[in-house]
Amino acid sequence: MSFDLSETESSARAGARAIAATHAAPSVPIRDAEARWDAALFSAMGREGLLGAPLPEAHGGGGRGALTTALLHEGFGHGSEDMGLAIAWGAHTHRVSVPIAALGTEAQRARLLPALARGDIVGAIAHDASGIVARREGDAWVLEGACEGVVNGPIASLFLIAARTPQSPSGRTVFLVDRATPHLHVGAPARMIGMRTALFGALTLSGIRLGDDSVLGAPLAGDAALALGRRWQRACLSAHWLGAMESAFERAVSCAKTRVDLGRPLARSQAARTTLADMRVRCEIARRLAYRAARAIDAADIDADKHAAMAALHIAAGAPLAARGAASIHGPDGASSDHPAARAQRDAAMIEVAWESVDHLRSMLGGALLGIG
Amino acid sequence: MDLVLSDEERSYLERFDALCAQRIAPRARAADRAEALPRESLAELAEIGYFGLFHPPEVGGVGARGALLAATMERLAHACAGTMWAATISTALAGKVLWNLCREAHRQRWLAPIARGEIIGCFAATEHGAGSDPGSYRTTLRRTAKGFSLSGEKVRIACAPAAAVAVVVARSEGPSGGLAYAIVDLASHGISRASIESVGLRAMPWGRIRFDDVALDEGDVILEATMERTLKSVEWGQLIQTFAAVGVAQRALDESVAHAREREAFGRPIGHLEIVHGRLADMALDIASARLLGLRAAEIMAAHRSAGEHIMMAKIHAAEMGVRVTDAALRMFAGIGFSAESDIERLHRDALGNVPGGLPTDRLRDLVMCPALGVSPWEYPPFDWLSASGLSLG
Repeated sequence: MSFDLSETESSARAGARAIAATHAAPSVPIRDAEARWDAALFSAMGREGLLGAPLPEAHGGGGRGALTTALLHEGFGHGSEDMGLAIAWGAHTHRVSVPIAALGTEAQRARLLPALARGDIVGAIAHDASGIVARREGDAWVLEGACEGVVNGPIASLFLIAARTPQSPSGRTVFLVDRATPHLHVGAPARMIGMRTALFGALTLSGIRLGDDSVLGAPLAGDAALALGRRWQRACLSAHWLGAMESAFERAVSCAKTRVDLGRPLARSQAARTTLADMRVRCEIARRLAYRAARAIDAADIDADKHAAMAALHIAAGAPLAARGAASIHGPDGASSDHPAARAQRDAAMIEVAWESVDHLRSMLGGALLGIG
Repeated sequence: MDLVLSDEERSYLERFDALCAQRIAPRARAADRAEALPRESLAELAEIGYFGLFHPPEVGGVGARGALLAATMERLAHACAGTMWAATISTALAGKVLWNLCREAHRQRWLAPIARGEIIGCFAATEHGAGSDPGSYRTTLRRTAKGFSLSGEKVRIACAPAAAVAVVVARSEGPSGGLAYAIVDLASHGISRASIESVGLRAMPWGRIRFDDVALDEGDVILEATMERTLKSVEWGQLIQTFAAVGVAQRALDESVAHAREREAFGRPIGHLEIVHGRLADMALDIASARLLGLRAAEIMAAHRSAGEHIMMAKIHAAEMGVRVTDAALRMFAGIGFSAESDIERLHRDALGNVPGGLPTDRLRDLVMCPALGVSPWEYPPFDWLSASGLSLG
């Protein structure tokens, strides 16, 4: 594996960074303070080719591979350090749009992908561990159950819902559900500690009725759609966090050069240098793991799921440490609510709620090593 | 996925794997107990061309790519970390220093036989009173009528007791008083050596070399030895520690996975316990991270470029990872691991050697960060800043 990026790949990353700096970065503090979703910003990301990057060109996407898409995320993360927007993009593109592109019928693809690529409609996924159940009644599917904390829930038009069927303990069915479906209710946005530029809400299904044309892929065969979305999201959001952590590291280095502590610049503190060195190494590891995962997806490597899970585990376990380290460098300034270092700590606190649980990832990877679970 | 190898490289690696598993690994426990380097292992490594992987055809090597160097180093360490250190310090640290610094005469006299695995070389920098701080070295080169004279002592030098040649970092006398390198035939008059017992990597010869007015020719001394040049020269040493750690840790993981599948408690294999399989996941992630950092550095270095902070980051993470992962393996094996009957405790003892070896990881963190911060890693003020700031315990 050559570690170097091609000219095109580096340009993609740089381009996304510029887009983030222009469109997202200036409003991050206010959107975070007000927990405000900016639909126009999301549409701008669609217009700039970010949301639809991995989707087929025939349906308005960029036809990009996983590595290039991950690099777009990295650049955007570096340019904005907006992890709420990251999680919103991740759910919309990787958990919803990518599975539709890969497994949808031509009708589903034609109907949904162009609008998803543009960001005209927002996608959300009722996450896998929810207790939603689907029963067959005649030629309809009836879904019942609830899911808390759905990323994009309050503003999504399209929900990808994974449901269990009572008669089949394993094998889920994935449905594509329009927000306007009767007996579907989305709760008000929850007040979260972090990732406040994204919205989270509870989804409740009180006997919604769906036709067979709502099924994504085949009944009871939804796991492929879920796994596909997971590995794309893990690889790409790991890269997104990498970009944000790199930006935070650079800011911390600048701060250490000038911030005076105990009569000298923090750069002269060996303790501060140790913290910074660990941040540096953590970023480099994040890079290697994220790129490996993305390349593995592009190569249809049998270990792609494992590599993606490893990249995500490194971030889930390490991003809070990185944020804590940056906070220690910035001192009082970094504790001010508007400072990126303060936001980074709050955003990192949301990782296990909004994205990946460290213990779940450990069990998945451990199980894979042992062939059990 | 991590290793992209040609058919020829893959075929070589398969043979190398077989050698490690069938011949070298079975000798590891006895070598550790007896603190003795298995000479048969060195001969077999010479025969399969391990030593020559690191060097160009001009000195009889094959100039292998970084991916193959990384893979062979890791597999050899997986089999026996002490043997890996011994063989690789000779060819890839002493050998590379000789290649970078030396003139043609030295290449043929010393490097070529090292690259064939016929003799062992060592790199002698550390002294009793100075390790990370070469500015404090006291071993000195003095000009004589016939050339130079070398006096002083180097301690805790890998391979020293078994080496035929040493590249010695010494202070050169006189007004400029900088560092110099001396290429020393260890059979010379005025040299005495002794072994030092170590906690781990016990198959590797380790010891002190004393120089009492050792006579050297003009051509055996390279006077232009800056700090930066010395740091660059030891990059290969750090790559050795990186892959020694990766190999030992992977061995620990392999043993732990097997144990988790076989060992039963409460009616089923312990792998079903969340703490057990969760720990395996952390071990695998830690190792993969180190291997990827190391591969990046190896690729750069095999292409004859300086790996700079890439190799330092790899060494920092990998060396400490090796200690963490082998410690995790001890927990996996509980009382069994604490017993000398299993190999697990040896893996942990071997892993310990990678942290201080060459440049310690504490020092490397400063070397990584100081340039970006615009401060010198060679100047440290006295600790006098607390009372000046009004901070005190009471």
